[in-house]
Amino acid sequence: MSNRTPRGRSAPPRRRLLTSLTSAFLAAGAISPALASAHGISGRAGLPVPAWLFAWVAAAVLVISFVLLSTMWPTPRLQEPRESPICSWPGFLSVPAGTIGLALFALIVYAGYEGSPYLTENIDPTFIFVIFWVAVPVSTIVFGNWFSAFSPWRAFARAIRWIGARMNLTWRPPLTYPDRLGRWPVVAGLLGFAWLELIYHDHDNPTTLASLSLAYFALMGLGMALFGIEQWTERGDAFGGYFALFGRLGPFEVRDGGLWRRRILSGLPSLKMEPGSVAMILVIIGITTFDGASNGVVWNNLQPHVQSVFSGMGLADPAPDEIADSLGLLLAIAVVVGFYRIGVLGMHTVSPRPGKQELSRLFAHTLVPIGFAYVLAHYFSLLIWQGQGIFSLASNPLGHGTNYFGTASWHINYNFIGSTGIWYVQVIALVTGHVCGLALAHDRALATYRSPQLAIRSQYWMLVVMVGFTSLGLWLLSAVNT
Amino acid sequence: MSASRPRSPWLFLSASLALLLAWVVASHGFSAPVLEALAYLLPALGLLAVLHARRYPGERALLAAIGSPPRPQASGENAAPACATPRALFPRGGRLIACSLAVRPPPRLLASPV
Repeated sequence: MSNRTPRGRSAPPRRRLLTSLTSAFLAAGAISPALASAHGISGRAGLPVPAWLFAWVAAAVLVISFVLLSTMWPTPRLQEPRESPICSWPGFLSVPAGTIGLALFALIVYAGYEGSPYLTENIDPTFIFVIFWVAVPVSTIVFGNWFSAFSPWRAFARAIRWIGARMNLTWRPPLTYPDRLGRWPVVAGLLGFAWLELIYHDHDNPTTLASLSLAYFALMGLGMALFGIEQWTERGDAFGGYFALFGRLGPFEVRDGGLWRRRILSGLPSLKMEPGSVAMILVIIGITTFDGASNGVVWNNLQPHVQSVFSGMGLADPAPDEIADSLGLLLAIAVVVGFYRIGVLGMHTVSPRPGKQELSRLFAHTLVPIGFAYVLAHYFSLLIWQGQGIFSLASNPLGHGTNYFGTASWHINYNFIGSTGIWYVQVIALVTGHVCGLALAHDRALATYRSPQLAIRSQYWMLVVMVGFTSLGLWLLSAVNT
Repeated sequence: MSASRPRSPWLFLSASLALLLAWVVASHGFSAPVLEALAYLLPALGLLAVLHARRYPGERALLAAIGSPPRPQASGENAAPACATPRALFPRGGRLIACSLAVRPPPRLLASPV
């Protein structure tokens, strides 16, 4: 892209374009007071404008972003991480971190078997579904992939290896991780967890959660024993892979004994696209999509029809319900795959090279900010409201009346943020995530296509993908809030 | 889109979309939730329709803004081979035959004195 025409020649058209964009922003600003006075999606009856106009405004923001990127981002900037060291990172810190991770894991298992069976009294459901599943990935964008240091199964395996080395016992993994397996174990693990959280009828039972946690721990131990600790952790641990993926969005990374800094988003283009990587990203979005849709009007009206088909086959409850929801989860993932497929096929019409499969791999990382935005937007209210419950549960994890930290009597403050505030956070998160995705796609297009025209044309198609995902996300959120 | 490009993926996607829409409409009719969902997705569907018709609105302005004039042909495979350059006032050999057989000769040749 270095053979662009000199900037001076294009100045007048660019000025006209900027004038137009400024006008567009002012027009958006004229709309925003009306939107700001809206009472959030939960009070949609009182909105001065229809809720779907938010999606239209978001689409306008994306179009403006597309224009700005096309005109003001002429060369690839994110393809190389360009990391710089901040400070050294002592290796011994992994010992207390791993100990904390193991201790928390032990607490979760113990609370599951010995604690109260009630959802609100036992720490397990809140810790696993709110802190572990939502707060940890959200925090990785700020702190990097800190979970790898606290991972209980990894810490346990490393401890065993260290003890073995002290006793002159060495263990060589008998198997080499097959390349064709790639990240498919992560995909399977994420799907399994999503099924547990969203579909399984007994997902809130602390004993069940403790048993499944132990089973996962054993599975990870087996994988690390067979393929090696780091090999398996990177590609076989569903949660490790999930958190590491979002950690690439942020500016920090710990590796090689140091803390490194890089440009925001620049960790994603270097993501190694192994088999299953594209599926992993799409499944993350699909899971959140189903979570939203399963609380919406459309799926709640359709689901009983699907369920009745399986009830008619003589299946006993809750199997028909779970099968219907499982199909819904697959359908949601299929919709997400279809959205991305449209973008890939569209880009392929611009130029026969790269091929469709290659395009799919080249641009998959651009969906990671969308996945993060979906997670943040969809679970924000859960994190903000239900997340407060962890303070009282930390003092009374088993529900036996203890008060270790003096916080057992803390209650959830639902006035901390209102539904209107949550709606705006969700909208901003979704739009920001999609603009980031658009920026990543634009940067990759500049590095992929030889001519600016082809790069811009390809990005028209990614704009469709981004606008589609934004609209879908807002529709799901508004449906939930209804 | 040229005839040589495979259309089956588009057909598959369009058919899937239509099937999904038909299923939803059959279950709900054109009820408020369905219409609202369509209203949400309308910007994306509109943009998709425009692009599917091989229109790239604003492309020329974007290319002009970055100082890269658009190529005369949309894609290389659709571009017709040039039969004459503007400077060739007196084509010879194969080019002469090609130009004489062309339905519409190059403008410079027509304008130049023979």
